[in-house]
Amino acid sequence: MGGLVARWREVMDELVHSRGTALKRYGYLLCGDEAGATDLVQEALVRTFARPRLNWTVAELEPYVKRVMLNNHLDNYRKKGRWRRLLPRLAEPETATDPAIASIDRLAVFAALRLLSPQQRACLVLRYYEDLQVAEIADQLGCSQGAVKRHLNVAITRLRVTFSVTTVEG
Amino acid sequence: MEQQLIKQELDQLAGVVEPLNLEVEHLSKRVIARRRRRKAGAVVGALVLVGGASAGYGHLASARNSADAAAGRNQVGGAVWPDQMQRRDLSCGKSIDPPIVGADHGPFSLVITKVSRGSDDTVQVSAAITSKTAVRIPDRPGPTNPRLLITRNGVVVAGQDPKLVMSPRPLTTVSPGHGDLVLRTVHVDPAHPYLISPWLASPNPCAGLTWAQLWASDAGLQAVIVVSANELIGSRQMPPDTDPLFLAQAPLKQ
Repeated sequence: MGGLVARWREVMDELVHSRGTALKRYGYLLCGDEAGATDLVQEALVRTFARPRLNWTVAELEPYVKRVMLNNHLDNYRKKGRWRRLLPRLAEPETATDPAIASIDRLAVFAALRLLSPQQRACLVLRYYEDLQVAEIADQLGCSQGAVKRHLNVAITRLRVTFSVTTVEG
Repeated sequence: MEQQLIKQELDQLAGVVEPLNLEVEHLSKRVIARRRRRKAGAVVGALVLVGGASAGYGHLASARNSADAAAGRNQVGGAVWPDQMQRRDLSCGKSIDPPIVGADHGPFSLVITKVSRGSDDTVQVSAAITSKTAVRIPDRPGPTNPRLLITRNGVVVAGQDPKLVMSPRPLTTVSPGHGDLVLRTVHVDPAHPYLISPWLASPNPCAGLTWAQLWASDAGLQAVIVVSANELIGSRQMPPDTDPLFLAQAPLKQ
């Protein structure tokens, strides 16, 4: 039993050290802030390793963890949505500008992503950052391929506006 | 071109993220705590499940008056079945650990006759229990059904809904005029195998997996049928982690 306990810890350690930053980047694109991304990664790792997966490799675990991150992110948004509807409308908290997003281009893209719904944003990230096909995205989101295409069209249209404004200003 | 631009922008945006800084030790403690909570929840769930299974036959249990019934046993043909069945936890991520009697034990054999991939990528399996001698076994082996699992390299990646598939008929009937419980049984002999396919519901991939992902590589992928030996043969062993399993498996090919 001690050997089994050590094995999953080794795998988790390897996953965190070799792919942790990549997971955080993925989470960041989903939710838009670093702290939220770190939380998504942590919770997904805990959920993943809470079930014994004796023979899984890091390569097999990474897509699984990303899937858990995506589901958690969308679930969190839905729960917060119910909460937002119950509370009186409050002023949006000021977004702390990440000093690393120094260029005006990055800010523009960042701002454009925030205008997307979580599903639109997830579709965009899965399609253009994760290089998944529409069918795979539909699988992950549990929706139809038609819905994925609609989300992508809306997301691209909104980004297109951003890029065209950037181009004009540039 | 536009799509390349979007990809480039996302890559560059993600690139500004600080490296992940996680204390793995702290994470390990959270994992252990979560596993303990899950285990505690599974024990409670199993107790509720056993209680529910017993309650389903409670109205018949009240008619018992035999010595065996008083001892909580139902006896058929010399074999003794415990009247509260427990099942091993073979949920997602688990491996099928010993004790395993294999596909053949005593007079019985568990046989997979066909494995096929459905048009919706699900797995369909036909299986039967055969016997070298004429015997009577519980119709639908035990209140807990034979289970169809999909494993990869020995780890469960898809399985049936854990809820019991209830027979439209009660497992036990009241013997007219005596008030004793009688297990509903079926005759099995070399010429008459017991087809268990009707009790094998289509498995569902574990959370986070899809059939497309499972089928992407058939390396190490197996369809596995398990049947409790306690229920088939009759045994006084109660703890689910010592319930020996009949196990038959067949590789899944793309």
